[in-house]
Amino acid sequence: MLSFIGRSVIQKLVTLFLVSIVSFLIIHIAPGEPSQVNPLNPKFTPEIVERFRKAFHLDKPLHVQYFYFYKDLLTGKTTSWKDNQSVLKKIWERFLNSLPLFIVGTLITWTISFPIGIRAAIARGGIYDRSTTFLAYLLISIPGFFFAYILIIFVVTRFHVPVIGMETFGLREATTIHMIMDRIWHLLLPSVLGATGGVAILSRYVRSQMLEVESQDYVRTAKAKGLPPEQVHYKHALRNALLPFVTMFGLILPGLIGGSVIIESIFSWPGMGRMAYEAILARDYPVILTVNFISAVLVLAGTFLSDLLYLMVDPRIRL
Amino acid sequence: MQGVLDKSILLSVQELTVNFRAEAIVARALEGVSYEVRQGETVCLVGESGCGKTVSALAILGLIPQPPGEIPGGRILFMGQNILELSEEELQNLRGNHIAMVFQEPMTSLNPVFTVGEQIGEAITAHQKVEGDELRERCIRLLKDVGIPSPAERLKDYPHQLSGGQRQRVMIAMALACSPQLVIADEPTTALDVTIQKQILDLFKTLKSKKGMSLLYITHDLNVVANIADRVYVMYAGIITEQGKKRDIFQNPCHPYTRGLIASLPARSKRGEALHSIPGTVPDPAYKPRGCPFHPRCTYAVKKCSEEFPEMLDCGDGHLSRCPVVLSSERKTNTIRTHEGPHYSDL
Repeated sequence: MLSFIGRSVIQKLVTLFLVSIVSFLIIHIAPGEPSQVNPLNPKFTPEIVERFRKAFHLDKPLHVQYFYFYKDLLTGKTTSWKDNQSVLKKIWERFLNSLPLFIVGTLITWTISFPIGIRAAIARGGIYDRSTTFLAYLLISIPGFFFAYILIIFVVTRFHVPVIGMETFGLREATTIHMIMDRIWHLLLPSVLGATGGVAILSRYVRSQMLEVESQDYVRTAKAKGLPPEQVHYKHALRNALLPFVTMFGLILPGLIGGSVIIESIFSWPGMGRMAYEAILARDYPVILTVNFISAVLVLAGTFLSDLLYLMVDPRIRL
Repeated sequence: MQGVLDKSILLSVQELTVNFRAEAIVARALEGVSYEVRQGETVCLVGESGCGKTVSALAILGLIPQPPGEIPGGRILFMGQNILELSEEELQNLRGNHIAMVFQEPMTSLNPVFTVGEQIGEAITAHQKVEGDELRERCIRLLKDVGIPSPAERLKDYPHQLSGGQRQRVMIAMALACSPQLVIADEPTTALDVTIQKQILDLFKTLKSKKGMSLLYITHDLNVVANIADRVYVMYAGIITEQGKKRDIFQNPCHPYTRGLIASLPARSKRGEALHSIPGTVPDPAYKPRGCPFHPRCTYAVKKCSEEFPEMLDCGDGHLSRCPVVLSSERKTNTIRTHEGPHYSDL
């Protein structure tokens, strides 16, 4: 067990190192560097560009730049080239904004998908199964932004659900309870919308997994024992059908930092996704690379977590 | 019906027909199959793969998925009660409690994520209110009955930690959990080594005599039949072709199919000779030949065989066969010749 953890941590560190190199190179291969973002701006005289390049070590060879960047990152001193703020502080603020969206969206996705998929599999071919199949494919096929605008037009005009930002302007004076309610109210539409696509896909996946397990011999054995259908489906079949989702559960961790660019842009949500997107447009390398690095860490941590979870839920896997 | 009146008859399958439907194609898995299992008796259903043995067993437990399966005709009387008319709850009470089943593949038939103890315990608690230490005790006793060493420790094991033979013993222990009157064993030794096969067969014999249950044993292996059966039903392409006591079937087979099966067995007396084989393959249940389903492969076939579906004919003493050709040709000489195949005692 300990040797597995040790081995796996070392492997992941090596991977992380390679990821850091590759992502650094990719950013630098991309055309345009920060000093050239806006050549028409009269403030960007050749001297200033030169000074800028010097200040951010852009005139040094790549491996030196690499070293400077990761030294700063590991000591926590990285600053954004755009506004000179600490990158980690910036990310932390945006992360706190994205977190509720992520949590509520994930909760909705996972709690709704499973009952839908399981029921569709058990009542295979029935009206319920066919209508959820139709709905799921409908939701998968509609582009997210298009669906968002339909929803905005419909919901906002009818129920006056807020669609801009995280909170109402000028609500500083309100009581705590009002502030919380306001936040939740603002969270409603973006998180529901963010979850719809997830529900459509995940419930399909749950259904097919469940169908596969239902045709296994041990489910027939469970029936032959005279167990009631609830125990056959929800104990014997479901327990096995859930195994692959443990892996998926570890992989939602990177979603913490990725955020959703589309949803956050549509709803003017000041979250991670939007920040990363804006940083890319501004060639703000420290921000891009830091976000990249953190999400790499989260992906690796997620796979590690799902390995451990698998170990716990599947007795056949032993180290 | 005489089946209802005769108290010694535990299970009576009467004219059972099962179809499987896929789009416009109907696969006729069983066509009017009838057989009986009496109290304390071991009955073997023999036939090649795909002849409908397993389907008939699943039908007894009400485990045929509908759709695609459908049961347009027949009755399955268990202790005088028609299983096909039972509600889902009544079936649940029947399964495992009065009729239990041992499946072919012990590895895939045990749930990989639950321990042996949980799976056996569940077979008991599905029908009886037993808890805690008492439940544990009963699980241990069951494992001991089926000959698993250090049963208390095995309870905590998962199926993948056991050997193939032990897994099948666990399956048998699960089947015996509620002391059912009838155990259906569907090729329980097919997936096992020959040495383990023998052990499992012996286990079935001891358990049967100890618990006084009836056994419906499904197999394609005539050696197993010779070893364990009291009476034998030979199945081919969804029908029973011949039935009788083990002695009659082996010493005096009256159906060409049974003769072919017996002749293709290796035996001491046939050392050095090439083994007999029946030409052709089992017909697809969706496209069975007209008349006798065996006639395309039959060496005795005459013109009538491809036109008329043969009736079950009496060969005397409960020995029935569905081949009028063999019976009429051999009755003329007034003796049904003794078949020259191996005697079942030297199998």
